Amino acid sequence: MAEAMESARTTPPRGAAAAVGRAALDLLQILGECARLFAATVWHCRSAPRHLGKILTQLTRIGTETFAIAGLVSLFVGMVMVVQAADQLANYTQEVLGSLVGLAMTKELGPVIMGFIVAGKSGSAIAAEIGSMKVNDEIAALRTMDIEPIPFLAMPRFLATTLALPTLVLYSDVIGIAGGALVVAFDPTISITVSQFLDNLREWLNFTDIVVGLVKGLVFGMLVSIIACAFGLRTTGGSEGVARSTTSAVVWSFVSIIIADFIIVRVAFLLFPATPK
Amino acid sequence: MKSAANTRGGVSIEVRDVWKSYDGHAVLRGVRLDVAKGDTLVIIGGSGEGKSVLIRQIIGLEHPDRGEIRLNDLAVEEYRRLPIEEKPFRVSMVFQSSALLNSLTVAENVSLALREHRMAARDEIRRTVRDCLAQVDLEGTEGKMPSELSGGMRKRAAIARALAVDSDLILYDEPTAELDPLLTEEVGALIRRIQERRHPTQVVVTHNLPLAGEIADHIALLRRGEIVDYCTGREFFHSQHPQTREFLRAARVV
Repeated sequence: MAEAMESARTTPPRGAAAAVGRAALDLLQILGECARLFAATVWHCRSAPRHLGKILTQLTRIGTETFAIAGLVSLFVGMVMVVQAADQLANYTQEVLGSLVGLAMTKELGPVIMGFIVAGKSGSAIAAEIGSMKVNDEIAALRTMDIEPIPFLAMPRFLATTLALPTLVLYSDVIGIAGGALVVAFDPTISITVSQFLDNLREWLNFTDIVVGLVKGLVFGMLVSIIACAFGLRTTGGSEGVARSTTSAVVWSFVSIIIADFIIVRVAFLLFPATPK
Repeated sequence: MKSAANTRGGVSIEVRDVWKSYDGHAVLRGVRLDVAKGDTLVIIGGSGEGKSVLIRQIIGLEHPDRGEIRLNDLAVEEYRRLPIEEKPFRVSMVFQSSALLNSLTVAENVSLALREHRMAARDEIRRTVRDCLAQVDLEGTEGKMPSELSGGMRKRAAIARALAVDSDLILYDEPTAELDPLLTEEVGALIRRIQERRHPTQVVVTHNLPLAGEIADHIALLRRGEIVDYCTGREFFHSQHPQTREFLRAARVV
């Protein structure tokens, strides 16, 4: 009788409702862990000057990991956009190509693509590194030395990613627009000149559009780093657990970037209604 | 930072009625244990008996569900809460996996706590690292990464990390796991040498009986979450306690 009661207490309930309940609890737990880690990391940012070396190391790592791929992807996104739009606009006017590419790159594609690239390259690396440290007892070893993992591990990665992403967004904007201009210059089906392309871009692109893109980069950087650190720190179960955490960190980062993007767009439209200069 | 009067000859440990369960399964069931200052205690027992769980409670990495652990009459939770500069003694742990930070060199690993807590000037830290590595026979490995070291060298580097902060209590979790007999003997001799030179309290968790016989002042046998036998290193191998006899028989010592 006692054994049956113990078994009923320890065996998880089965069925669809129980599965949904468990998933909801997991979701709430992860959100809670991320929120707590975010608050603690922001609090520990006051000790950033002491950890300048670690922050710079992380910045360099993110830069070297993403610079080439970010440039390549941005270049081709800008080029593809011009090719696609030029075809659609062939019967109307191709004079709007500059504003189309410029606005799409600065406000939307630049930040989102850079967010995805940083999540895929650096976020996964952060989750895997911290996850391995967790399962190999390196984080426990830090605690025995009175070294707190949040200022030592999470804070430098958080600051580095949060600073790196807006920089990458700017870089992506420039390369993407350059890619568009390249197609305009060499594609015989396009009837406008590069200078018309750039004039149209200058006419329609506001400073606030660039700022909105940079703000998105800042927010995506925070999300990617906190999610990666949180999943790294909750890793259990050896190398299989590290793989699971890494995948989850990337998936969660992608989803949160899209959700945050929607929220920022809504707020930006409320604050800065779209009007030409 | 730390008072020599408080810690001369290591740290005393009192474990009082400690219980710990995971997912409803009791791993520690009312463990009671006393370790005198400067003693080397070996906790011996089979796999999954709760040895590692017990030392994780002693160092404060985990908290018991019930019971209390005191280090030099200070509750371990209270000790952990103290800022580093107010801690009256230092505690280190050598993990089964060595737990060296893979992104740091050997010298950076050994000096990590000293650098992070700014416990000494740069030159002094360099000297300490050199001394500690010499004590564990790892001279010349300062610039190497942990991945370039053998299993035995990694264990010794982890011990050097504990020595660097001049620990008054060193806990070893299976220090000879995955080592061949020669390296096991080497690590055993090192633990003995540390006790003779520095007199910290040492708690070693292992299921390696020859190692226990070589290094222990006292041996405690942990079976099914309880300390069932506790005696001096020499007495242990002649103990008449039925569970000790059974353990020794299984290990083909008797």
